[in-house]
Amino acid sequence: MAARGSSEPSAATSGKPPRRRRLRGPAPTIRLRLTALYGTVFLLTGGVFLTVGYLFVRSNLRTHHSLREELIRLGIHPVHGEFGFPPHSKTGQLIHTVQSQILGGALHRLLIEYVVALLVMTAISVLIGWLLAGRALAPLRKITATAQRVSGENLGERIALTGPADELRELADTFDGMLARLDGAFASQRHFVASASHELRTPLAIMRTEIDVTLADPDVGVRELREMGEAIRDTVDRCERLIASLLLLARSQAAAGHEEPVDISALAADCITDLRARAQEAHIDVRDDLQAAWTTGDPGLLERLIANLVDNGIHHNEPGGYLRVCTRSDADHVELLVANGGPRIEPDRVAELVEPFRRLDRSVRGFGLGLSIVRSIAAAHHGTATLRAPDEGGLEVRVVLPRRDRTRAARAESAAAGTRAARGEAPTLAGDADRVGSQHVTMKPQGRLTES
Amino acid sequence: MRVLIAEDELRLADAIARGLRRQGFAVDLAPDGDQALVKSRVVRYDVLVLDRDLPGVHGDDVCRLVRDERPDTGILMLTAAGALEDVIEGLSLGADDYLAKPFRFAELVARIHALARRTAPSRPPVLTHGDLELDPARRRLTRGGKEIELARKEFAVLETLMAADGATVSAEQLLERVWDEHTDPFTNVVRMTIMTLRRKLGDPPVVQTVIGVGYRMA
Repeated sequence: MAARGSSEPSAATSGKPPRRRRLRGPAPTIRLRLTALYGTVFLLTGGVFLTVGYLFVRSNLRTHHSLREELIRLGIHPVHGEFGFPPHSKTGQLIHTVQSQILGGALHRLLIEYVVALLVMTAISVLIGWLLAGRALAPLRKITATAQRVSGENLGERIALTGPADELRELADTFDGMLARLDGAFASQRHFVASASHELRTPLAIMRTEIDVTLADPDVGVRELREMGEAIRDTVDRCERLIASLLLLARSQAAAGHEEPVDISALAADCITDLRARAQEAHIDVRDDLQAAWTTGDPGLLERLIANLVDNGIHHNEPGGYLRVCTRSDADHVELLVANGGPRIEPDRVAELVEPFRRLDRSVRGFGLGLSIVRSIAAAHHGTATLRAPDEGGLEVRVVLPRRDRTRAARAESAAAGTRAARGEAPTLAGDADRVGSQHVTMKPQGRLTES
Repeated sequence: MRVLIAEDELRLADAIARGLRRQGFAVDLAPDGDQALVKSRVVRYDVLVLDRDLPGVHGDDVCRLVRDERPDTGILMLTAAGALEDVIEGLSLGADDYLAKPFRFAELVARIHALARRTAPSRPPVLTHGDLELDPARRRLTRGGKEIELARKEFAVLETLMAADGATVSAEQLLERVWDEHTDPFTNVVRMTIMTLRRKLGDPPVVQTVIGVGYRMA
């Protein structure tokens, strides 16, 4: 209680004055109810206790403590009546009356004192109850204050409640976890918008400068004008490629609209055939191991997923490197594995690759959207894409999708998977145990909140 | 005037350099942060046009380091992020000016001129010496009210000499201020330029040779 109480001053001082009334609004009602409960319970138990006490005192005084019995205990044996006086004698009657008056007076005073004491103690207990309820509810006020301060721009705040691991602490920790995930989602969105605007404005700046500089020369010749035109055409091409990639990313995030049975191995074979000439030119050894792997999805998007991976594998390779494309299926899933050689990637930078507009080497062409599109398409098909950077260099991407007849079941399961992903558990394929010595990153669907 | 452009978009850097050279600036290029730092340590640039999102050493760090090491170099930050917070952040890093992409080239030139004027010790926008009047921003030179046409390098040499305000400027200094990194340091290009400059300026001669030291305005 002391530890929880210590958080009270900070909660009380951090609230701004205009918010304070609203902040305190709901708190006193529960506080009042708790106080009333304490008071009533004390009043009832105290009342019962004192009544019982009073009754005992009264019966004891009446039965055990008559003067006659005290005299007998002292060895004085009155013949009969009080003090040896016959009961019906005047003196005997007087003594009896006085004795009952003393008894009656004492009991009456006791009753009044008990009632006063009960009222005073109840008042004190209500006060103590009020204070205790306030202390017990202080963490709740802190949680409310934080929740009110948090907004889209200010997600860095945490409650960070200290004290015993009780229900309130659990509530605060859950809330903190939710804030962290929201923060991550907002940050990645901000990064996306900033990067997209950067990528779109740079070509505009190039075109604008080319035109300004060329036209500022009054004696500009045909050759310079032609060069300017070519530079602008190249830059427009770049814009078109960027917009096409962004549209593809948006389309894949909007989930697969048109679904049909697709054999991943056939798509992979087509992609390899298309790109084999480029691979040979770059002196890359392409090996494949394609077993039929049927899933359900949008063939256009799945083709894009495989093409992006194979293209990446050739592009980020080194002369004499390898590119391995495998497909296989087990009872529940189909799996596509694209592995390529190339320069070594720091394991802690693998995570960056899946974020849009992240490039390890910015001198290489491209916008850094390829793997984001892969992740997004995999997620839209209820699957996952996992990245691994082997120590010997290169990159290994494993895409796991539900098997064709399991797709429907997977869709029903996807809600549960969302909960798992939110808890930070990565859904994995059985038999995927070779994960030592290198970092894994499971790419989760963008729409879900992931803690990073 | 010597300008360094640190920009990783080579096409953009090239277009800016082309435009600035035509305006008479001596322009060097740095495609990443590391080269920008190395070059700014070797040469004293009047203005550094710095892309904020540089590969290698990040533009923010380049800005901070150059601000520390070369307090008299004006830094113009050039970036695609033009929101108010980005401008404030850029300026608080030590940049003197901030221009968001896409920009108008004429605005960039005007801002570079303004920066160079601000960082050079109390330099008036129009330099005068006797009956000579030189306006660097408009690239105009008059002597006794009569306009004189000068080539780019001649104009820049005269501007440097007039900005020195009577002090002697060595040939090495002229080479550094007016010519860029591609010039052979053992060339007689400074001497040749001074010769044609004297011829164009006419009589009485205003550019004086201080034997063994350099040149100054007389």
